Amino acid sequence: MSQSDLDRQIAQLRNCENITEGEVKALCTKAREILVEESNVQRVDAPVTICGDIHGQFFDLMELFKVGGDCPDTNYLFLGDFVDRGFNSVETFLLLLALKVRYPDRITLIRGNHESRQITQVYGFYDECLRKYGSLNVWRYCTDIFDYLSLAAVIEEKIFCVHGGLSPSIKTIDDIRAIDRKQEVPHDGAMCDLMWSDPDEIEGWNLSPRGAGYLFGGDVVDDFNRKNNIELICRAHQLVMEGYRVMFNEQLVTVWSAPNYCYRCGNVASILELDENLAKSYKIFEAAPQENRGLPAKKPIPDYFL
Amino acid sequence: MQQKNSIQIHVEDTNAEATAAKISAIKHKYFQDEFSEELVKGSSKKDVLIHRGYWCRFNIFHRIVSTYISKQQKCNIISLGSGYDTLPFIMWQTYQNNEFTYVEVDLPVVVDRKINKLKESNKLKTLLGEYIISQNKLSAKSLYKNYLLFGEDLCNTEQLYQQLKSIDFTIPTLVYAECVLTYINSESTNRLLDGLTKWFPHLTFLNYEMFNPNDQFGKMMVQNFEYRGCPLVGIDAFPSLQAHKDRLNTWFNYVEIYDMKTLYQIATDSEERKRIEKLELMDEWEEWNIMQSHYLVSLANKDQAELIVNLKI
Repeated sequence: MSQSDLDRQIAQLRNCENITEGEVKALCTKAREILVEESNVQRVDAPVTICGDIHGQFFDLMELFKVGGDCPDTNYLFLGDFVDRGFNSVETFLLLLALKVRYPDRITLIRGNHESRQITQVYGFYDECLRKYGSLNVWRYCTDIFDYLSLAAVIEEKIFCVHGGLSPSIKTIDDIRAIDRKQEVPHDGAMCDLMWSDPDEIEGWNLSPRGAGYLFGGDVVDDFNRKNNIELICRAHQLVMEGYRVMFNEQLVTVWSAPNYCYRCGNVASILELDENLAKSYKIFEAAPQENRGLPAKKPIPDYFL
Repeated sequence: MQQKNSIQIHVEDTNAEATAAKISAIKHKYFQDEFSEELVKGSSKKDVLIHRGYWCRFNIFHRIVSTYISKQQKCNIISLGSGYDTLPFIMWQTYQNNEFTYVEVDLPVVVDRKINKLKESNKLKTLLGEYIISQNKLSAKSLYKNYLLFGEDLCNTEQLYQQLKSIDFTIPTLVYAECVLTYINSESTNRLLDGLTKWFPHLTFLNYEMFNPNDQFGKMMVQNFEYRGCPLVGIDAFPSLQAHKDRLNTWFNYVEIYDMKTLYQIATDSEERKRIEKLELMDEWEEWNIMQSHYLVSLANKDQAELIVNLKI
């Protein structure tokens, strides 16, 4: 795959046009070579812009790039959940993956709980691949790549980034480095918790209403940050109507990057920009206007109870 | 008039869609209902959130109607804007020895379709027997059961009264509406409630509908329903639980009202809840809570002393 091929594919994907099954296969092969070399906890340099869940909302991702700047001009860290729920998971994930292959040092992708064979069969990516390609090959190539995505990132040794949250089985960041990540997201244990857990106003740990991962309190965050010499945990995973939410004396933040989530929630989205001194600036953005959603200009209609 | 017709067609669509979503929940073992598929064929798989929401609503309505029928010697159940509701059939199947009359009212275009579906279904024929269908094909009466189905716009209170006249107004009567009043302007709903409470001395009223139109989710909800051609014309006049309660208190001296987020915990069977929570992983927790905070159920009784059933278990 030549660089000009790749540039053409990126241009195509930016227009929300799909690339061929053969091209997906080649792209995934190339991506695997890059991702396999990355560590479970990827080191990322500032300045960097951190993005939360995207969930296949392709046109809103284009809004994100308008607000945050294009890759590679801006250095990006995406916290997972690229796929499912929205109508364009295929184009969304393949564009991000193509950017990763083209500019490996300017974009970091870590794994969310939706980057899983099991979850994508429930929440849409599986069906979308089947519908758009007529076979499951693309779904297989993509889900195989999911297994190679990093589990977390650390920015300048000060900011710990993960999709979901902490785990009772993880005391230090080195514990994460010891996980064998190249597998489907397990139903429990450290790797599962990193992708499924949520912070909550509780003490210690509690069961999660999601059925996987845990709820963890401010004391747990205190402990983890102190032990690991971390200033801030930056995570995604939870819809925040205001785009981001700071908790526990600014020791944890949730960043949510899917505006009007599922075309239903009416929320705004945000990205977190960190400058070279790790100074924070949140940028809020709204869903792409209807006229930017390309043809056919059919507005997606979400489900309600009728 | 033109506009009204187009809205009615869209409201009719919501009815088939609601049943399709119910069927998806039934297929995923959330609850049992062998009749929905007699009315709507096929359905695509819905999200866990949708499954759980329909389960929650079904669980509450099923319990309340069951209790109402089984605890009384004789009663009427009237379903307003019934669409492809199957609860009457489930009730006849379950309570074969209880005496009750079931009335379903919806827009003529919906009733026309439902009558056709009833005629085509052997399963329903076995349960209900032959039907006497009116000449204009807008009402049907079952030969085996006290079942009356007719087409009427709920805004026409006087005609509604004329159509209901064949039932016994003096016995306890439960009237319920699921996602119906929100499509009707509040003056018509007030007239309807005024009529119902006048006609039925022993009335219980059960209502499920959208509310809370003014926050971010609510605004988007209002916008989305408007876009699909079935605007929530009744939602703004009564935006909060308190506003709904105050309105009902005009006619009922006992009113219980909660949002669905609360009712999921306090009004559904806890064993059943544990069972359905294991059926699918729920990765839509925040969205689920927000969505359920925009639906309410109210239960109102004319006379608290005659209270047969509570919302809260």
